[in-house]
Amino acid sequence: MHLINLYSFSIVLFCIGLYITLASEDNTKKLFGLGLFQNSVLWFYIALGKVGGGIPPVLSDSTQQAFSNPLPHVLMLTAIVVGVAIIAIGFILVIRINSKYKKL
Amino acid sequence: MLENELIYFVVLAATLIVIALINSKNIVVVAILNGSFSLFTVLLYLILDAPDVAMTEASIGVLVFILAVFTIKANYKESHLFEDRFKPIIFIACSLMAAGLIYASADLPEFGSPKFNNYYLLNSGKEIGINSVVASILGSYRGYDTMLETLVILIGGIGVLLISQANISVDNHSDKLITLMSRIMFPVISLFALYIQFNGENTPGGGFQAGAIMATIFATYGLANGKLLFLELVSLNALKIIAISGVILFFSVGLLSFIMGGEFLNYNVTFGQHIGITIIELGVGIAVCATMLMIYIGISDASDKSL
Repeated sequence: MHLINLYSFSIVLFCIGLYITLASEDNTKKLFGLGLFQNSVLWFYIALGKVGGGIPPVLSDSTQQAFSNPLPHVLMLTAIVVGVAIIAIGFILVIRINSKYKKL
Repeated sequence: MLENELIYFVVLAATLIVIALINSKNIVVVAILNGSFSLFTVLLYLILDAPDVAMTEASIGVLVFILAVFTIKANYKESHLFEDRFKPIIFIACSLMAAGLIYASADLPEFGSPKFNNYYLLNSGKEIGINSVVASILGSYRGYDTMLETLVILIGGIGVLLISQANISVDNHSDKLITLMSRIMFPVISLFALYIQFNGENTPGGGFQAGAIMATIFATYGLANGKLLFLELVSLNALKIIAISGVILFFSVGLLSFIMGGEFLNYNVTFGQHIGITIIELGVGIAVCATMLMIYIGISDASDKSL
């Protein structure tokens, strides 16, 4: 089984996001790394839900076609919106820390 | 298959962007690269048959970029301060982790395999009676999840406001062309958000997407004009009340079905599934939009103050 597929790409992205979060000096850049980290998990789940030759899961009259799995879409939909709340908390903390201590 | 080639194109572009992002020292460049990464992510979601997620990611990508602009404005410095001597160790640890996970990913089902539990696809048409399967899972089968997620983002928004200690500051810096463009875009995109909100049962879309799009166009307007459109009408306290009322609308629909003798969030005993989902999507939309605007006000105000 060949390993060059979307799963391994999302795993590589996961580790790159982790690396940026741990290794960068700038707090804002760390938060972007956290965003990548999160996006990679979304990629992974959406890729799991894909069905080859499928169409988006909206029912219509022609019921002969294959649909992609809607469950990962629902879970990731809420995860994105919660993720932006997390990133926003991070941003505001960075702003407050820098205005208090005047350093990066 | 064309689908696979498109996926490889998008993944290649995203990988190049991420490599540029690792090496970039300038934080403005990082923010722009992050935005373009978000764009390719949207394309990938569209190819992978997830238009709902793509729509949300598109509007959230814009919102994160706006928030990042304010954060960078508050603490912009040209150079970095020190070189981290643990970097090689971190790099080796991350590489080992990637290798291990990729090795383990061989056990996953093959990409694009049609084997999954398709209970929702088979039964949601007759049990719920709306076309968008994503909306019926979001609103009915997994109503608890959605309700508490709404509460989580409300708490996030309140947290931002508490940390920033914001009270609305209005400053007038504006460029004529950008102001004009934002005024032309505003009615079109808010109409689109309302369409997404109220047609979410039959097409991709729903409360999360509509709330995020609405908040994004308000924030874009605020970014272009130096103040928010509605601040003459609504105060920050009223915005908090609107956000909380969205969550309360969701909870009260659940509680109403509880009082009328069914389970919590069982729409069959109250309004029927279709109307019940419409109401809770409205609650989600209101809560998401108001919370995102609270976050925008909190961060932009803290950024203006710290200069």
